[in-house]
Amino acid sequence: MVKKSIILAKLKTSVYDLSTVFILLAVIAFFAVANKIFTGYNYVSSSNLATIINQASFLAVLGVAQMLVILVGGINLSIGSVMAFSAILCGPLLVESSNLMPALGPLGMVLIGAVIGLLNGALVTTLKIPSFIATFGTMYIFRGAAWIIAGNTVYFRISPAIRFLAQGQILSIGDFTIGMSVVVCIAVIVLLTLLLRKTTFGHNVYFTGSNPIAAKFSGISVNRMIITMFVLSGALSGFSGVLYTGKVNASDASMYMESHFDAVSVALISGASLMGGYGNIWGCAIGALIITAIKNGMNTLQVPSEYQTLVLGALIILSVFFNDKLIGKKMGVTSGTASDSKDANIVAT
Amino acid sequence: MKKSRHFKLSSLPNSIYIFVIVFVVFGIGIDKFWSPANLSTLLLQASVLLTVAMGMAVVIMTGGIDLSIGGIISLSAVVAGTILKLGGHWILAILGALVIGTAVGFLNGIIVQKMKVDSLIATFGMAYIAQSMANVISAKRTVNWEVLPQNAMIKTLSGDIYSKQLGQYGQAADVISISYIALICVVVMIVMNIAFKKTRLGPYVYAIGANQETARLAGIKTNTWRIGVFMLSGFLGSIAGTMLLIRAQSVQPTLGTGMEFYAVVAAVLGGNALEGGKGSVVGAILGAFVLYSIRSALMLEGISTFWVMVTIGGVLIAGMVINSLVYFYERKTLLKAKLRATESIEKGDVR
Repeated sequence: MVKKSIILAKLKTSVYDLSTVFILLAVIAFFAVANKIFTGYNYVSSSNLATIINQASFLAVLGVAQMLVILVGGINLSIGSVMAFSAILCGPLLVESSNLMPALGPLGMVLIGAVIGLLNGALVTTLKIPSFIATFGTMYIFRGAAWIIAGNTVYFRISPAIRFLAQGQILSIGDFTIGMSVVVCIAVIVLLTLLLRKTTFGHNVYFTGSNPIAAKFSGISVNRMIITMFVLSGALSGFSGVLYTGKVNASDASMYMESHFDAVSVALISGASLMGGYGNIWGCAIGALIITAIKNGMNTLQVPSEYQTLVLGALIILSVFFNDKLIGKKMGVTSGTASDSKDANIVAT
Repeated sequence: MKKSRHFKLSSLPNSIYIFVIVFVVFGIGIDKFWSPANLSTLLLQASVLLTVAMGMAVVIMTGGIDLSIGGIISLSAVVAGTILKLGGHWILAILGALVIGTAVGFLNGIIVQKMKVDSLIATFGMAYIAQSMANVISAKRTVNWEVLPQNAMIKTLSGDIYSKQLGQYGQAADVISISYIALICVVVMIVMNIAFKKTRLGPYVYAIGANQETARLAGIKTNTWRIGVFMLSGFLGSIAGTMLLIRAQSVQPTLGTGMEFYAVVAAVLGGNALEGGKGSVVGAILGAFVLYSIRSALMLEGISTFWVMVTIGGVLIAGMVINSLVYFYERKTLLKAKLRATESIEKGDVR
């Protein structure tokens, strides 16, 4: 009897973990049926699914960049500015006519991103500025700096290697085409999942996020954890910049202004808790797929684009609401929810 | 007469230092900065941000945040503009804007307090929803209306209530003018400050922000008050939306975009800690003034908007650093005082 209940409990927890997958399946099922009835378009055709997956891959990388910081209880609004700033600084290295190695540009962008991440981390930890404010400040500084440096310059005709990274096709079975970006995205997710789930460092990160004070007293250097995550997030933002540059085949200073909204949306829908310490890296892939599936579905249903943000907003609120409920259930908390944990902790102690 | 309390640096609104620095430096460095015309324009331009920053400050003091302000500004302005377009009376249009803004704020409060969704996420989602509704109502086009007798007041409100030529005739810098918008803004500022200082609003907000559970156990209706605070923020957002409508005499559906971040920056510069329980309305007002004085000063010097962005980012971080420095300094002196007290007790000269 005991064994059975343990298995049941384990099954329950894994079901809770998979809640975002169920949302994704529900979204796809809804649009498949709706499209069948109203437009006759085959939403679940292999070519359309491939489109969704390829489009979602970039968004997923962006979401991971945000998620890394959210795991330690922070937020990073500077992602888009890092993308633009690094893409402008490394612009001459990215173009086709550059005689240098094609890997040099992306490497430089990742490095610049990491340095800005270090700055963010230092502001958040040593100066104790809330991450929301600190990264908002750096968002402004580096977006402005990108504009100042670029002037009217736009770097276009990006080198083929970078274009291949972002939009190359590597596998097609019938209509189902998988691009290089999907491979890149999976590689990023697998690497970071291994780092966060299989190493001591990763466990310390989750520990830091869920309870920084307890982590500090058990000998973890909380500040170093937070700075490391900001550096990783910055580096990944630089890398997203590489992907974006390859995708649009140009690098300019006003690229992707709404990125912080998108990145936060993906991370929130993927089930991360803004309080820190809760969230899966692979969840970002699912979150990105949900957003892309909805956008694609509304386009195929010919719903005006104004309504897309309405649905997205409602989805963010509802998915966080249900996720909190599920986390609460999983943790065995009967009253109160995860987002309420600040108060719940006080009540519990 | 009440004896003045012991002066403490940290009891000043934190933005006062940066406000003084900015005003003095710009006043000395830039020729026309102190001119009456520039100061009038400054107040007019800042009035929208001033209005929303006060609401934001109160929300932040309760430990929440309201990122839907931008959406509320857009939505309320579009609603008012559409009513005017349909030939409605101007009072009806403004009332419509105020009602819709307050309603969105109410919804925010319900989601945060009843559904227990973190306010950052709830209002972030609500920003999407409100902005989307604004786009849907206006079909993503600028809303214009014909000037009719029943809405002529909107035209009147965009003008100056008082304008006086000082000094030599013909010098534009010497015109002092007070517009209706600035007047509305000043009235709102005074009302908010009195409400915060003299009524239960202030103490309750601090209590809820410091610890919601304790506040509830102390008999404060936390749900009602927090929902009310979000409604207040939405209400002020819709006033700001109306101001923008009056100023432009037309409505662009995206006119509120980015305003929520400016408001957060103004409030935080004013010493409102994001954890809640700390800060002041006056601080947010000064914070908003700092942002607009920087903008105005750099514009007067003809420096490009890109530099303005960089400067605002830099000032924000510098302001936060000053805030932390003041905090550290205060704590150090406090510790020293305590240490001295314990030493004197150990020596035995207890008075």
